[in-house]
Parts: sequence; structure tokens; C-alpha cells
Amino acid sequence: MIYPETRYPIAGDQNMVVEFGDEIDITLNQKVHGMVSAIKRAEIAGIRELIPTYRSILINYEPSIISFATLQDKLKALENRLDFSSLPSPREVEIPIVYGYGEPYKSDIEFVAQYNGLGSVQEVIELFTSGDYLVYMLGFLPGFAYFGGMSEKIATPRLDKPRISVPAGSVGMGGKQSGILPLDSPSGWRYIGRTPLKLFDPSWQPPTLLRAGDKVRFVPISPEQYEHISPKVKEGTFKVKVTSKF
Amino acid sequence: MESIREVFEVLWPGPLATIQDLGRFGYQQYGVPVSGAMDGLALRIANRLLDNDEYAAGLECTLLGPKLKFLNDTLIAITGGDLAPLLNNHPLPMWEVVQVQKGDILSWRGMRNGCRAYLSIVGGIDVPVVLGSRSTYLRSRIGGLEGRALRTGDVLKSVPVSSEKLEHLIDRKVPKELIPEYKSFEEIRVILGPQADHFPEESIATFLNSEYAITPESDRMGYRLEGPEIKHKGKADIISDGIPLGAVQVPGNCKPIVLMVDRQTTGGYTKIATVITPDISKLGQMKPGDKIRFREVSLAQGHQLLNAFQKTIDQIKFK
Repeated sequence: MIYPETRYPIAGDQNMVVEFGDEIDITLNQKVHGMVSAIKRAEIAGIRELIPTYRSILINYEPSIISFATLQDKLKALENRLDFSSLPSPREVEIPIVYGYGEPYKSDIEFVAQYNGLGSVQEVIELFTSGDYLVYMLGFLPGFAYFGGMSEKIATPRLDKPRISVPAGSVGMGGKQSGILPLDSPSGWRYIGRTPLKLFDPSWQPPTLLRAGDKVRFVPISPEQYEHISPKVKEGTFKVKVTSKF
Repeated sequence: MESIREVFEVLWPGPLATIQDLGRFGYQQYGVPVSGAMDGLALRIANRLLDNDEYAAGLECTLLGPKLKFLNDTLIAITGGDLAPLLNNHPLPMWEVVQVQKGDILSWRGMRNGCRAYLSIVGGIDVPVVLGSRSTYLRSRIGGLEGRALRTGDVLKSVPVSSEKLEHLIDRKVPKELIPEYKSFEEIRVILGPQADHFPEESIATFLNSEYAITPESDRMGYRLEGPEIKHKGKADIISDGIPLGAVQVPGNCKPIVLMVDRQTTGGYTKIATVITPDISKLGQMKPGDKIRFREVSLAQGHQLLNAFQKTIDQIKFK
């Protein structure tokens, strides 16, 4: 639920949580992103860093510059003035994906079909591709985006034993959650496909392809297209399709 | 100005030596952990001894330091845990500026107290700044030297400093009363929250009245503790939210984990309390087998303690 009144839990001597509710919900998450841009615009002295999440913001502040109470008052005032019509319109990012090409993608996509009682791998592809994905938050790994919007018809539980290393660019799901691995990493999720795009590069500013609040659309590609795009991404000559809707 | 020069070569890397500064700030919103020195206070003092920039990078040496050969004459300072450093096999004083010469060999006899020593070089270690910091984040291979720990054969450079600056640094020493003490039992002060309300009163009492031991499954990311179970009112999981430095999370097995500098930015376990900033450096020097007891302070007390801690740091000045 969205709390009738925003909560401000204490998180140690230099952090405050601004918590709007306790569920994964689009409206709630939009409030988070709205507040984050309002806080950034307000340039409140003493705020060092923000971590927006599904339903809350962790604010790192300098108590010798701003007290907890003053910070809370300023945030309340910002929240009261929050105007959703003035929010920056979400970007839409197009992510090419090749499904079931090589391992672990082939076995995982077959498992997802079988586990959910779907007739074929093609149905998994259609269901996954047709989702309207929203980046609720970034976390867990540099550049890892938590998506909302995947069809529950393909939700699949995690592996009992995580794999030691899954390649960067792998797209998959853990239960109802879905996302893309930005870096080679151990993971217990099911990975049904792979994108040739780079999700994280410390030389970029900001360092991630996706940002909290973005909309994401997956575009199926063939293994040949994957092999064609992949070297271009490495050279830095591939242009990712990003649109802002007004 | 002298040109950038090679300061030392690694003859043996030891169990874990990484380049760290005070951390990578501003990128947690993109999922990038802060990293930085586990004992930031010790690194700051080493940098102050050498008139280095506050954010200069040094070497964090864990349990047993690396064996290094100096490639040029320079000034160094070693602070933090006493790993018994030796220069050409003679005991090397810590907490003061030391002149080393080309060809000198730095080695270590082993841990006497604390578990992380900081080696600073005049000017600071020069590696590329990645997202605003030189700190190494091993899990994602970001920062430091190619994102990894030191290896045999690595050669490190320092940021250039003008040589006339160096003379007046030579006799600098940290006064005894300002040198932190590292113990194998510490009282660690916490402020309850952000999710203390997910625990019944008995569990909070257990948490505050028991001793917890640091287990071997502890690293720069976090310390897993062994001790009495802290039971939740309901579920151990919450909807993932941001994790502050020093958060004490309690997963489903009811054993607390203190999250340290390499912690993931977000997580889905309940956090019963948060360690106050002045006690993070103390924790950073603790090792498996060491014991802690948590003590509750209020937010107001926490802010007073933080203020006093910052004043103590400001006192550490050299002529």
C-alpha cells in the first residue's frame, strides 16, 4: 500500500529513508522518481547522495550542515508541492535480444516453457517480448536494472544452486522479477536470452545505459544480427535507440 | 615538478592488498558500491602525515602485507593495524613519516593488532580515477589497478609532488594519544532502525545484550556474525531498499550481518540497526574470531558522537 503519510525511518547517523509505501507498484514508484528529481532540483545543502528504490529513497546527508528535523521539513514541503505533470517524460530504450541462442539460454528458455505449461519456446518469446517494462530501480550490481512489467505467465523460480558465472548481457527472470546482467556475475536466475548491448561502462556519464524510470522494449533479433551488432557495440559505433515521448 | 615516477614493485602480493581511497560517492543510484578504505580514519591520518590530498589513494594491506621493493627514494607512512612492517628486515615505525631509498625492501612479520594496515606514499598512488575514485571494487573489477588486487611484478606510480615540499615532512609523527587502539573485543554503537519495528522487543533485547563473534565468512562487503538468533515478527524479507554503511541486516537465518564498504547498494533483508560512523573504522580492523557487543545510542547522541569524532580528526594536523 501507499502510506497515508510518508515515513522517515532513521538509518544511522548520516542516512534517512523516505518511505512512501511497502509494495511494488507503478504509482508508488513514480512518486519516488518525482521526489528524486524534485530533491535534485531543490539543491538542498547537506544532501550528499540519493539511492532511489521501488518504494523509498535513501538519503545520505551531512548532519553538521543539515539536521534530521530540518531535512525532514524540507522534504515534506517538497512532497506537498510535488507536481506529477512536470515530471521529465520517461525515456524509452530499445533492447535487441536473441532468445535461446547457446547456453544457458537454450536450456533455460525450454525450462521456462515447460515449467509454465506453455506449448512452445515461441510462446515464451512472445510473452516476454510483448511486456511493457519499466525500470523501477538500479541496484544489486553496477547498472543492474530491476524491471516491472513481465507477464506472470512466464514467472519462473530461481535455480536451487546459483551458477558461478553468467555472462554480461544475459536477460532473464527470478520469480516475477526480470532484468539484464550488466557484468559477468554469479546468478541463480533463469536466462532466456542475451542482448549484445553494454549496460554498464564506467567511462560513461552516467555509467549506465538504463536509468530508473526508463521504459524498456525488447526487440527480438537473430543469432546473425547478434553477431553483427556485438562487435559494433565493442567498437562503440552501435547507436542504441532511445526516444523520449512528449 | 618532477615527472610521475615508479615508486615500488610488488615482489609478493600477500593475501589481499588493494588500492583504496575514501570511496566512490554519487554512483550508488546506478548500483555502484562505495568501496574505499575499511578503516578510513587510518588512511586519512597516513595522508595527513604526508600532506597528501584527503582523497589520495593508499594501499590497504590485509592480514599480512605485500613484499615491496622501492624503485625510487620517497617518503611513506604506515598506519592502521599493526602488521609489524619491516624495512630491510628491521622493524619500521608506524604512524610517522619514513624515508625510504631506492632498493629498500618492505616486508611484514604479521598481525599484532588490527588486521588492515595502510601504506601511503607521498603524493598518493597514481592509478586512473574511475567514477570519481581510485578505490578498487573487486567484485566488478572497477578502479584500483585494473580492478584487481596487487600481483607479483606490478609496478606502481605515485602522483608527482614538488621536491622542496618534502623536507619539512620528515620528522612528522602522530602523537601517541591520537593513535587508535585496536582490540579483539569492541563495543559497537548503533542507532536502531530503519526496520527495527520488524522485530519484537525480546529480539531487540537479544541483539543489544549478547556477544557476537565475527565469522570467517566476512570480507569488505560485510561481516557475518555468530551469536544468539534475532527472530523477526513476521518475514525476514522486505521490498529491496537502499543499504547505508554499517547497516545490520538480519536475514531468514536470524544471524546478523554488518554491511561494510563494498556492500551492494540495495537489498531485501530487514535492517535492525545501523552502526554509527565513528565505529566503522574500529569494525574495519576486526577479524574473524573477534567479538563485539552492540550498544544503542539515540540519533541525537549519534550526532554528538559524530561531531566529536570529526573534531578529533581535525586535531590531527602537522606543522
